[in-house]
Amino acid sequence: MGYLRFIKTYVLLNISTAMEYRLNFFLQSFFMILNNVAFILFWYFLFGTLDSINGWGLQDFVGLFGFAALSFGINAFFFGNWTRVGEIIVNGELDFYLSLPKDELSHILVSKSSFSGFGDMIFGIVILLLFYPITLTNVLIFVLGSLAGALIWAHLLVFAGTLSFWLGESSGFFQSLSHLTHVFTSYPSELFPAIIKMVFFFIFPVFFITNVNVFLLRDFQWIWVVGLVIVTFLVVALTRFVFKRGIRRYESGNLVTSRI
Amino acid sequence: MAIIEVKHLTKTFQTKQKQSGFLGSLQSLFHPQRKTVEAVRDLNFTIQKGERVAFIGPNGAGKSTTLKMLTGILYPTSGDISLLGYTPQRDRKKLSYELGTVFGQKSQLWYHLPPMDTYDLFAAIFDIDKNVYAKRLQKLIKQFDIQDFIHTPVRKLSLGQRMRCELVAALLHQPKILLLDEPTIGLDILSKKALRNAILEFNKKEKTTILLTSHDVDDIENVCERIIIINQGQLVYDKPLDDLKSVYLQKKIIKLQLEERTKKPLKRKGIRVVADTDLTISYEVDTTRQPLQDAIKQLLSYHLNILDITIQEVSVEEIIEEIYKQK
Repeated sequence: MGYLRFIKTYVLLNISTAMEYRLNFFLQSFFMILNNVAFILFWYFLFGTLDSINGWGLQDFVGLFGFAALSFGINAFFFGNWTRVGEIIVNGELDFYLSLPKDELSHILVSKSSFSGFGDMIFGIVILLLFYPITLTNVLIFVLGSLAGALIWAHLLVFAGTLSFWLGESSGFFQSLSHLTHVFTSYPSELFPAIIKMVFFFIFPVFFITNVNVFLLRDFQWIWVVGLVIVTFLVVALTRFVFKRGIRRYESGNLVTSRI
Repeated sequence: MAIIEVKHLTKTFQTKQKQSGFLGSLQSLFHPQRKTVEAVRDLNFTIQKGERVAFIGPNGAGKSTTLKMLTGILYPTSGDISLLGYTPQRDRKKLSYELGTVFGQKSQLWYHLPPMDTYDLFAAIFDIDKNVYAKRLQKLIKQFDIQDFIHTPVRKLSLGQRMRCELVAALLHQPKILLLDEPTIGLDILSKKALRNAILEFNKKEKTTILLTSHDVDDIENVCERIIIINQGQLVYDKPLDDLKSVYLQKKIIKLQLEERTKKPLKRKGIRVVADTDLTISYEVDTTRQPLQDAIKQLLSYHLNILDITIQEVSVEEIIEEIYKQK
């Protein structure tokens, strides 16, 4: 109960902040939709001339993009600080979270919300529903797959940000890694050589964010469901463990900060 | 009952050393050099329930580092801390229910929203029952006189108004200990006074233990009853404020305004020059070594062309400056 009230208050607070700057909010939403539509149109016209790429057709590409938009949207809206953990550590902003009774990492993640993430979520849901038949299995894959994908994506980036406890300022490294997750969530794993697949399925499992969900929609196999659950659990658990260890090394800071 | 106990507390940091310029950066890339800095060294003190303690020292003395170790934000390198029987690093979450913090330079309030929204959030963070929260908030709003701007976005508040709102945010969960890190920084005289009075009033009514850091001596004199001074991470002074004053009250400052300057300042046992500008000389008289009456007599007979004479007590600011210099 405590956590529900806490998350609800944060979501409302963040929406209130977004409403303080209405024009910014509308512009952000407009360009997000424009960006997403352009991407879909690109695949649509490309597949007007091609049947498939390595066995992947328009539906699969749109599926990847739909899951990417949905998981990205969930993170941006509910875990708005997912890309700022490193910055929060380096700037000494962690003081705030450490002096309050809620779980630090959950608190960091929910304390910011990008309202445009809501638009991404809607966009993702709409294109998945448009391009796939609406069956119980498919809807379950949409819901559970996007949630697992969002958790993996958020925690992989949080893991990268958490390394700031040891590396100090490392935003350049983080940006590259964040960009890499965008690339590997929008393209099929089949396009890459075996070694790349090994790395990004088993070491830095970005292919579990969207690719596995599309595998399940193409050909449902329990092994992928089990794999997705295990990977989600491991990524979340490992990230939380590393974060807790990192707190011991936290050095705080004297930067003058305010909560925006 | 000791509410805060600090024993042999030490904190060291590793800082990267780098020569200036591009070559220095290159050298540091291949051969990084690190230096160990002792921010806090073997610090010991205890604070009783309801005490108002000033925790002061020059910049870089280790005040904020100590406060952050008390809250559990930083881990000590060695030593023990106990607050209400909790070890901050181990029991950080439990302790946070008993601890209120205001860091003058780190706002807890949402910048774009009214303070009321942040209060609602804090009530949710601390799981305060809605009815209890409503009553408590009303009481705090009255105590800190913030009703006129509780619905105004924080960015539009004056610094003084904001700090009072910050204090209310820190007190919503009724902490037993309040840590204030430079709460009056940047405030004008009236706002400072209002804030100090509110803190004092609160301490009297609620018996909240207060640990305050400030560079403003008026904060210390008006709010605190005990003073702990640290310098270079070490404890250099820990006594009631009255003791500090009584020791130093034995010193008087005699300021002479001269018509013309004919002689060098007087040198005698227990009398020393503390300021010497063209036609004004200030002497400090240690009355334990040279009775004040004798000192005045000597000065009057030495300087024959005196236009004006004033005798002052040493200010607390000067006393603290003296202590900083000594250690």
